[in-house]
Amino acid sequence: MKHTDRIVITGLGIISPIGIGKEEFSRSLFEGKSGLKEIDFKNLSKNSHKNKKAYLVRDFKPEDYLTKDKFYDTDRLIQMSLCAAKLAIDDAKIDLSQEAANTGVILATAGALNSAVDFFRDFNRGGPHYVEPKQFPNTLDNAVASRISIAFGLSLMNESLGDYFLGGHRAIAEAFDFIKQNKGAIILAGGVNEITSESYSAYSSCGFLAGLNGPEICVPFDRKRNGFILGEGACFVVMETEESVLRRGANIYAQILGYAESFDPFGLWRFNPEATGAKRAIQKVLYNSTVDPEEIDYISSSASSHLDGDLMETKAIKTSFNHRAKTIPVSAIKSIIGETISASGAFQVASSALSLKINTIPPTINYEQTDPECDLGYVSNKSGKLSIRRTLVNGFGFTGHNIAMVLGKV
Amino acid sequence: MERRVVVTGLGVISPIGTGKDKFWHNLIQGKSGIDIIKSFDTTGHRTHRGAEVKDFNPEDYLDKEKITRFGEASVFAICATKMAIEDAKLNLTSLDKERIGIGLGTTSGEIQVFENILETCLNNSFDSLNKEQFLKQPSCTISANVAIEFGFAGPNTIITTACSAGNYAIGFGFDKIRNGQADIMITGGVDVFSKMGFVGFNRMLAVDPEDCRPFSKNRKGLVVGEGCATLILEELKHALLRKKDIYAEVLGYGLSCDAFHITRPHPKGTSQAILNCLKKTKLKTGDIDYISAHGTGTSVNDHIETIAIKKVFNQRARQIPISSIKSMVGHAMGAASSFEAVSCCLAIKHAIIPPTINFEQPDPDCDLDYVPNNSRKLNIKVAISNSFAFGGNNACVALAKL
Repeated sequence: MKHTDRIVITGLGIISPIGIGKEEFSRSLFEGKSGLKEIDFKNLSKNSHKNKKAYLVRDFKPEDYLTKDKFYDTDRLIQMSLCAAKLAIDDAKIDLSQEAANTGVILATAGALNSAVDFFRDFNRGGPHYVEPKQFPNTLDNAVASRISIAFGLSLMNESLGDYFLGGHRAIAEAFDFIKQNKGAIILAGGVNEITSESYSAYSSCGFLAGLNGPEICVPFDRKRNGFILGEGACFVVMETEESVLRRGANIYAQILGYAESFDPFGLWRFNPEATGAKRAIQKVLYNSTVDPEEIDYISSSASSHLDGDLMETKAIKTSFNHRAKTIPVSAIKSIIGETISASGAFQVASSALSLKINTIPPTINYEQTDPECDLGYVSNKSGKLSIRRTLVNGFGFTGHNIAMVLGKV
Repeated sequence: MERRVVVTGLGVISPIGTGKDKFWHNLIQGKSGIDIIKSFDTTGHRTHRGAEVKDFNPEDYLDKEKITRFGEASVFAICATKMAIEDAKLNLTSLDKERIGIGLGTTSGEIQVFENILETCLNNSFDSLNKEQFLKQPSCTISANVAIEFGFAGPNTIITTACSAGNYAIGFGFDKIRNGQADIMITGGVDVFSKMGFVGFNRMLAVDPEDCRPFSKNRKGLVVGEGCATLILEELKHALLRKKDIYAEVLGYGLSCDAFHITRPHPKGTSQAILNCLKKTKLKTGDIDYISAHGTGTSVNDHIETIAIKKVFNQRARQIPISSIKSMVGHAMGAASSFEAVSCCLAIKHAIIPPTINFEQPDPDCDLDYVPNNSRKLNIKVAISNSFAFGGNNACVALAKL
C-alpha cells in the first residue's frame, strides 16, 4: 500500500462529561478527572431510587459554538452532535468552502429519545391533530446525521447506524472502508448518546446499572464491579488519507491500520464466557493489519465495570497475547466518562489517538481491589508515560457485536 | 480479479403477499395492498388507509416462545431471512458461519415495542416499565436476533437511514463480499407499521387519503406501509460451485447527501447518487434499461426525482421505462428499497417490469415513461433502483442480468 493511501485521523470533536472540546477532554482524561455527577432528573421510576449518578454533560450551550440558524428547531441530542461536528471540522482545519462536497458523515445513535417521547406524549394526550408537524422529522434516527450535513453543507455521503454499544466503533469502521474505496473522501465518523429520565429509568429497571447490587461506582476490572454507569456526549473523529492531508495541509494524530469484526451468536444481553467473538476480532485485526501481537504497546479496553463483560475482555486479551498479556498496559476510559453507548467507540478512538500523539496512557480510575480473574496490566489511577507505536482498541458489546481496531503512530 | 456479488435468495413479507412468488404475481397483475387500516383504530386521524401486511402468520416459521420474546420487526426479519435461505437452498450445516453476515436497514426499528412502552408508562408511570419490553426495543436487536437464530458470526449491522436504508444495506453486503470479509451476506430492510409515522406524515400533509399515485397529476402523497424483504448476496464463484440459480448480479451502488433540507429532496443530491452509482459501476447512461423509482407519490418527490433522472440521462431519460411499485406496496419505509430490489431481481429474471398503477392523469412536470397501469415485457440487462430519504440520505443500486 502506498504511504499516501494510509488512513489517518486529523481532527477530534468532543462534547463529553469531562469537558467540551479536545483540550479540556484531554486534560481531564490524562489527569484521571472523573465526569461522574449526581443526576437531577424528574419523574424517574420509583424502582430506580438506588441509582443516583451518571456521567452527564453539563454547562453545554450550543450558542457558544454555533449561530442560531444552525440549530433552529433541534433538540439537545442534535445540538450536541452539531457542536461536536463543528469542533471536529475546526480541529481538522477543514475549509468548507473547498471541501464540503468531499466530506461525509457517518454517525451512530441509539435514537432520538427526547423528541420521540415528546411527540408520542402530545399524541397520547391530545390525539393525532395535537402533534406539531415540525416535531416529526426529529423523531427519526437519521435526523441527527442529516442535520449535520445540512448545517455544514457536507454532501459527499451521510449514514446513520443503530449498532448501539458498538455503533461508534462501527461508524469508524464504515468510514475506514468508505475512504479505501473513495480516496478523496473526508469523513466525520462518530457517535452520540443523550441520557434522558426515560432512558435512565429503563436501564435502571433492567438491572444493568451499578448501585443495585453493590456500591454505585464505575470500577472496570475491579473486584467490586457490579454494573455500568451511563454516560452521554458526542464525539467525532475526522478521517482521510494521508494524501488528502498533504493536499489540504492538516495535522495527523494517528493512523488507523485496520479493523475486524466478529458477531458472537451466544445470546442477547449476555457476554460469552468463552469470549469466542472477542478473541476472533482481536486475532483477525492483527492479521488484517499485518501487526504482530508483539507490536501492541497499549490496549484501550471497552470494559465498563460489567461483571461478565470485563472478565470476557480479560480472557480475550490473555488468549490473543499469551505471555505478554500481563505486561501490556490496559486502560478502561469508561471509568472516567461512563458507558456512552453509541458514542463510546468514538471516545475510545479519540482518546487512543491522543495517547499516540503524546505518548501517555490514560488511567483506569477508581481501581482498588484486584479481581484474581482480571489480572492484566491495568494502568490504574494515574496515567502512564510510554512510547506507543501501536494501540489495540476493543469494542465488545453485550448484544453479541465485537470489533477490534489497531491504531498507530504515523 | 474483483470478487463479484450475486443475488441467490429472496424473502418477502409484504402488503401484497408473503413469499416472493405471491409478491411477484401481484406486482405484475397491478394488485394493490392498500386498504383500510385494521391494526389500530384510526378514528380522529386525518386518513384511514395504509399498506399493512395481511397474510403472514409468524407461527409458520417460528415457535410461539420466540414470537413473544422478540419484537415485531425482529420476527419479520427472522422469518423473511428463513424464506430467503430456503430460496437460496443454503445448506447451513456445511457452510462456514464466520463467513456469513447480516446487514439490515430500518427507519423506526422496533417502533411498536417503543410505542407500547410509552403507552403504558405515560398512562401510568415509569414504575410500570417492563424489563422484557425494554430489552426488545433497541434496533440492533433485529440484526442480532437474525444472526443468533442461524448462528451467523460474520459482519453485523443495522443501518438507520430511513427510507433509503434498504439500499444502504445492500451496499453494505456488497462491500463485505467484494472486499473478502464475507462470502454470503443476508441483506434487507424492515419496518413495522408505525402509529407515530402515520401521525407524523399526516401532520405534514404528506399522505394520500385514498391510494398511492406516483407521478400522476392528482397525486396527494405517500401511503404508510410496513414489511420486510431480504436478499441473500453471495460471492459469484461460491454460488456457481453450489450450482445455484442466480437472480441477478449486484454491480454496485452510489451514495450522496443533499445537505439541503430535513424533509424536502433536491435534484442536485438525488441526481448525484445516480451519477455516483454509474461511476462506481462503470456504467454509461445508455446501459440502463429500467429504473425502479423511489416514487413515493408525494408532489415534491416525484417532481424532483423526474428532474434528477433527466439531469443524469438527458434525452435518453424519455426512453427508459420507470416504475414505482410503491403504487401497489405503499411506502414500507426501511423495507421499501428492499422490496424494490427484490422487484428488480424478479423483473430481470422474468423479463417483465411491474407497472406504476393508479396512473390517471399525466402531470406536465412528470413527463417520462412511468409504465402506467399495466406491466410490460422487457428484456433487462441493467436496472437501477433509487431511494431518497428524509434528510437527503440518497442511495442508488445497480442490478444486472448475469
